[in-house]
Parts: sequence; structure tokens; C-alpha cells
Amino acid sequence: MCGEISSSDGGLNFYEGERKIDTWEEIKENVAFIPQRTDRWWGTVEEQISFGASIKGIIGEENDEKTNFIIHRLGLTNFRYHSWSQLSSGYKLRVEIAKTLVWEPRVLILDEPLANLDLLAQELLLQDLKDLANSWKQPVSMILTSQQLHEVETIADQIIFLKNGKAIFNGGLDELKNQDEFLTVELNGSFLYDELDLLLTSFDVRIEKNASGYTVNIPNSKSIKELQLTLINSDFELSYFRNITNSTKKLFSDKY
Amino acid sequence: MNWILKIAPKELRLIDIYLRENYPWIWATRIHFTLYAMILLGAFAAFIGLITPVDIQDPLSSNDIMTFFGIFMFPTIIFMGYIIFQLCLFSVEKRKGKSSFFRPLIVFPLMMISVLTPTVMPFTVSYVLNTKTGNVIDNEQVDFDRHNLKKAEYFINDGESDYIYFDTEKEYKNYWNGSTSQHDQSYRRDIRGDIYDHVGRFSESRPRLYRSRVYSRDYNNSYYRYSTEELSSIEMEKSVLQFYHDQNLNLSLTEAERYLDYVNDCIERYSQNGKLEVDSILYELKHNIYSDCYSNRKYNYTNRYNDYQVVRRSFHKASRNLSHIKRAQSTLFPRDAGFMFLGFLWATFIITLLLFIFRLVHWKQFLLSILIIGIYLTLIGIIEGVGNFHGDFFPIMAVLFVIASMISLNGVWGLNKFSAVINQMAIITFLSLPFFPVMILAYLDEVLKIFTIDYFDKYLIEDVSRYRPYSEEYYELKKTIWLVTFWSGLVFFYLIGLPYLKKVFLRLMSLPKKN
Repeated sequence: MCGEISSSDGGLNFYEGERKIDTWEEIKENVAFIPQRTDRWWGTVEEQISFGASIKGIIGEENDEKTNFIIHRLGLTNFRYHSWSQLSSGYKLRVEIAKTLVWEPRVLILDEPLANLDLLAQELLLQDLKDLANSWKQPVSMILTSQQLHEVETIADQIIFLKNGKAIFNGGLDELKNQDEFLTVELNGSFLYDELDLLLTSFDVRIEKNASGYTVNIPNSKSIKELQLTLINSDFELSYFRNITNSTKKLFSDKY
Repeated sequence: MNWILKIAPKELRLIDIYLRENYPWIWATRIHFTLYAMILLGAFAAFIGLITPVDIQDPLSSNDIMTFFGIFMFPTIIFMGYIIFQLCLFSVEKRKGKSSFFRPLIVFPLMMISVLTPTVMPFTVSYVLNTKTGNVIDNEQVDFDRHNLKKAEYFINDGESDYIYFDTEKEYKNYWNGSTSQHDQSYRRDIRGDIYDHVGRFSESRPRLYRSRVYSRDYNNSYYRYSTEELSSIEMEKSVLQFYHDQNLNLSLTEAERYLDYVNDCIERYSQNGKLEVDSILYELKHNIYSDCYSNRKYNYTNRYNDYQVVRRSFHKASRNLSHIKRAQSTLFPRDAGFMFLGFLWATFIITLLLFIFRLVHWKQFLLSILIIGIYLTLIGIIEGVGNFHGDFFPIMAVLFVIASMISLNGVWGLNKFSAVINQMAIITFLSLPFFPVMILAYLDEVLKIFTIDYFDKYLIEDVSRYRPYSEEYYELKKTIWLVTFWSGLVFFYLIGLPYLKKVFLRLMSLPKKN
């Protein structure tokens, strides 16, 4: 998609207005890609960002303004004179994003941006990405790959779920909800599989055991609240409960 | 280079920001830093040169100054390495920046200058030391002293081995007519000892001795040791020498005394070692008893040796010091500095070529190309050696390799995936293009012997089997053809090859790699 490796099948078309862009040189002037493992860079954060802008033709005062804006926007103000070795993984990623966003690509592609970040950093970054995508001044289309499904779902407008190299879902989260006749939850507690199965007999459930607990599918005719009440009123202690009906996480289920 | 910014004046920091924000392709050459560093390093080298003691009695020779040059080569090479590293850090091309076709015409020389700047250290220190050496005394005084010392040389036997002894005028003339036999030569060696020790036929008196300075080291070396300006004065000395040669006149004692006194003045001024015994020398001159020692004391080897040492230490040292000072006054840099600069220039050109490629290709591709070139040249070298091709195989295969690389570049515009093969070919073309015309000419000259075709027969003046059978005009023409080919290759590469190949690399760089 970003021209790093050639496609094995199919094709992609890039348009600028009505005009189709058909050379990789021109496509790469509009599409930016941030790989999971970024190369080491030299100099300071400010130099990298300013240089990234000026080589794309953003020069003079505009360069200064945009550099300062993006540094501020991505919370790098206190790190502008830091070098690569002085930054944590999260801030290195922010610098990469800043280096890219400063020249205003039309499309930004990020490969596993959350992979090396702690939970707090993941939340901060996702919030930043969402804000940048929705920026009135400089909105950017973003495509990112991630395995942190819950976190990404909170900001994504559209999700493509890949399984064994095939897109098994492509759409918004609302479409996911309407896709089938089941409600799906993840839960765990002081019960065994058989005990849970017995407890939820009236729901006509389908239970799958996985590493973190159980994935329970109940028919649309039932409600999540009913399920919750049944579990709370039982003698078992419930330690984890999450409704994943609207989450792509349910697509991991064998059902799909 | 942020450490430089910390010690840089405000103006440089502003220039740095201005270039980065407006001309990133110039900023990436680090030219502003390297020029600033050049000022600092040059000042440091000049300071070292200024505090190095240079005295009129101990002026620095070319070799002495080149020793300083050599010492400063260590920091120069280290700093060069640092600049090369800096030039690898920011690549407009690798970050897919905007570019123009002819921008390499500016970037390439700027990169060369950046790489070359550390050489300011050895050149500055050698310039300062050279100037200090030249300024220890006035130019006019040096010329006057040199002139007089040259004249005085005729009255001093300074122990050089190129004095020839003849006991008769006939022998002397025979020698110059080329009729000196082996026997005569050994005879002369025998009588030399007799003359020395006043024995045999020389027990009572000394023969008239004819000295020849034609083989004198000083005389012969004059052609390559002195500047053009100096050579004119040497030519004048030559005629004086020839005059003494031909006439073999008795030298005027009055003149001798005047010049010998003058030698002692110079010894005092330039060497401060022991002075010459003017009376002894005059005695010998008067009795026409030259030998390789001016002592008139019979059998007194110790004294003779000591006197000889006086000449060696004092007269020679004064002459030598004068030569060093004169040379320093005549030139800006020591003798070998020019060759060193040319060497640096070439090394920098090659380094810049490699750097330029490095900024346009992935480092793995860059290393792979060096490996491929190495393996290919080794292979054809082995085939050349084993196959006994008389030197014909290696050059043609090298030339064909480059031609094949050039032709394959056509394919780059039709690619829709990155091709490592074409990328390699582009690197090989880039590296060899500046030298390609010379490679072709070398092949035509060495293998096909193009300069011996019938067309050039009109320049033949001797049998072709002789050494240099052609006229000077022919060799000049050949030299001109080589020079024109060489420079046209460089100019073509710079004006056309460099921008074109950059475009090729940008195209290759933008293509997706194979899945």
C-alpha cells in the first residue's frame, strides 16, 4: 500500500482530485509510512522535524511555524533538543510521526505503532492520532495496523480484520454489530467450564475457553443485562466481564 | 555536529537554522560547520606553527616542515572520517525530499569541500613554518649571501667526492675528450693518495691539480631543487663554472681572501660553528695544492680531519641553511605539499563519489556493489593470469563490464519493481563513469597500440626499436590527448552523468521491493 514491497495480487489506485497518480515517485510524495522498527536518526528532534519539512518544500517562516506546531502538538516541546538516544520508545515514535506529519502527507500508514508502548503511552498516542486525523487545520487519513484491538477500536472509523491473509471484515464497528445474530462477551471468574455451561443453560449459549477466560455467545433475543444478572446472582465470583459484540475481537472466535 | 553549535558564535547558529529551513540540501552537506571548523583548526595549526621556534641558524628544511605536515595528518584523517560520517547522516534523497535535476552540480563540489576542509591543518602549519623560515632574514641579504658563497666555493675544497684530480693538463683534456682509459682512472686514484701524503713523485711539491665540479651534487641538483626564478641565477653560475673549467685558471688570491672572509661572515650569521682557517686555504691556493682537504700540514691527519669537519659543519651548514631560507622565500609551501594536495584532492573526489552513492542507495546495496566489483576483478584477473592472455583479457572485460552496466540502465524506466541487478549496474556505472573515457583510451593505447598506427609515422625520427623514436611533438600530442580525454571524462560525468544517475537512483529508490 505504501510502496515498500510489491503486491502479490490486486492493485491500488491513487488519485489527486480527478487525476490518477501512477508513478511511485509521486505516490510517495503523498503517502507516508512509519514502519514498526524505525531507523536510528541523528541530530536533535527539532533538526529532524525541520529538515523533514524543508526537503518537502516547506521553507522559511512556514517551516519554523509548522515545526513548532507539530512539536507542540505531539508533546515534544521539552524534548526538542534531545537526540535519538535520549528518548524512550514512545517518544521516538512520536518523533517519527512528527517528522512525517510536518510535511502534510495525504495518507499516513503506521505499522504496529502501539507495539513497543506501555499502556499509558498507547492511550496518549491513540488520542493524539485521533486528534490529528480530525484536525480542522491539517486532517490526515491514517491507516494503522495493530493487535491492540480494544484500544484501536476506540479511535478507528473503519476496520479491516485480516485472518490468514484474508479480510474477513471491512467496515465500521456498527456494521460489525449487525453482522450476525449473536451477542458476544468475554468473562472469567471462579467457575469451571462445566459449571458455567450449566449456569447459562437457559441462554442457549455457545462457550469457548481461551487463555484469559471464556468467550460466550448468546442469541440476539437475549440481552447482556440478563446475562450479567444471571452471573451476579449465582454463587460464583465474577472477576472479568467484557461485551465484545461490537469489537473485532470476536472475530478471533472459531465461529469466524 | 551539535557540539560545534555549542561553541559556535550566534551567527553560525543563525546560519545553521537558515540553511536547514531554506536550503536543506546545502545544510546536509554540513558546509557551514566544516568551514567554521576549518577556521578553528586552521587557527590551531597556525598557533602551533607560530610557537615553533625557527631560528636563522636553525631554519626548517622542506623535510622538517613536512614532518610537521605528517604529524597533523593524524588529526586531519580523524576529522575527515568524522565529516564523512556527518555527510552520511542527512540524505534528502533517502527521505524522499524534493529535488531538481541540476542540484547535484552544487551539492557534489560542496561535499568535496566539506571532506577536504580538515586538510587546512597540515597546510596551515606548513605555510606558517615556511613563512617563518623565509622571514628569518631579508630576501636581498639571502640572495647576496648565496651569491657570495657560491663564488667562495671555488676556493674551498669541501670534501665532496666529485673532485677529479689530474696531474697534467693533457690528462685533463683527454678526460674531457672522452679518452680516459681504465688505466688512467686507476692511476689517478693512486696518485691521489700520493698527493695527499706528499710522497713519491710529490714528495717535494704538488702538481697542478685540475678540479672539476661538473659532477657536483649541488650543481646537478640545481635543476630540480630551485624555482624558475632561481634557475636563472644558477644558469649564470653555470657559465662561471664553465669558465673555470675551460680555462683552469689560477684563482686570484685577493678575490679568494675576500670571499673566504665572506664565508666566515656567513658562518657566523647562519651556523655559528667554527670558522675556516683563511690563511691555510690561501697558502694552498698560493702553492696550487688543491686536495680534498685544504690543510697544508703534512701527515697531520688529525688536523686535516678537524679542518675538514670545520668545512662540513660550518660551511656546509651555512650553505644548507641559506638554501632552506631561500627555498622558503621562493615558495609558499614546502616542496612536497603540492603533491600532497593533489593526492588529497583525488582521495576526496573518490570519497565524495562513494558518499554520493551512499546517500542514494541502501547501505547493503552499497556494500554489495563493492563486493561484486572486487569479485569480478579478481575473477578476470585470475583468468587473465591462468589463460596467458598477455594482458588483453583483463582490460577488455573491465571495459565490457562497464558498458554492460551502462546499457542495462535503460531498463530502469520500464521497471515496476525494484531490481537489485539494475541497482548494482547503476552503482558500477556511477563509480566508473568519470574514468570511462580514460579506460577506453588506455585500452586503445596499451592493447590496440593506437598511437603506433601509420598516421603517426610522420612523427618518426628514429628507428622504432629505439627508446623514444618519435619527435617531441608526438609525445606532446599524446600527452594532450590523454589530458583532454581525462578531463572530458570528469566534466561529462559532472555535468551530465551526475544529474542523470541521480535521477536513475531516485527512480530505483521509489520502486517497491519484490514481495
